[in-house]
Amino acid sequence: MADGKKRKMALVLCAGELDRVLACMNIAVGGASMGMDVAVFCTFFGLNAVRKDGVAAAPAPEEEPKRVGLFGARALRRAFRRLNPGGGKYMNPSRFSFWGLGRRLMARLMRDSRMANVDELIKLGSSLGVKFIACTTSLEALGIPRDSLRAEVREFAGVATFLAEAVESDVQLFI
Amino acid sequence: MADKTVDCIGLYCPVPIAQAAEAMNDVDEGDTVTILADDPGVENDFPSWCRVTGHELVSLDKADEGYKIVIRKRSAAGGG
Repeated sequence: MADGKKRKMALVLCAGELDRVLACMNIAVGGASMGMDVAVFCTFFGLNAVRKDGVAAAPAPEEEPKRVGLFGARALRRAFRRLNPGGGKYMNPSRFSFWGLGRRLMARLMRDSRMANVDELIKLGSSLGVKFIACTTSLEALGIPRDSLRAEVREFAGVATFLAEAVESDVQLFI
Repeated sequence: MADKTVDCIGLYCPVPIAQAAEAMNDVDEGDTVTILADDPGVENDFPSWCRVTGHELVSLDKADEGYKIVIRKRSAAGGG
């Protein structure tokens, strides 16, 4: 920093739509490039951004939630896992999704003009020191096994961790 | 005095500033890094980037094919 103080930025990525995720990763990479300590706290569908491409494999029996809940909850979780693939490849834009055609068109347009995609921005951010933190409550709620997350996610935490980052940060954004 | 050139022609924000930040790690204080870019955003982005990181913006020239930006590394900077 110009004044010698290291600035910090805390981002919450709550949405899993292509445009929001791209904006988040763009800001994260930009912040890290400007010498900031950047933390991206991924929660709810924002977790899909930091997942490996595709449908998550079924969790090992010992990783299944202990409290099963109502009758059929296991089948419901399984169905939800299939309906909720992760990774940039399966990420729809918030508009013009066209049942999956929109994301393919966007990917094509961006590739043709050599824009960085989600996968490249996450790798670039990680190499510049961006921290990706996964919300453990959301992982459980959405039935996302930890091993389906990308290697760039090295921390698993809750709201206190985000707030601790946020109070120390100069920039806080909720995306 | 060493100089490093980073070619960002055809690449969009935030890649040019990310590559500039990475290039700063490879040079010593007082050395310069030259960035070639054609995303029009760099015209405002590099002055801002330098203001925050403390590196010195030596020049920013606009040519037909894009921009040529020269930045001198400053030690007080935490950027990159």
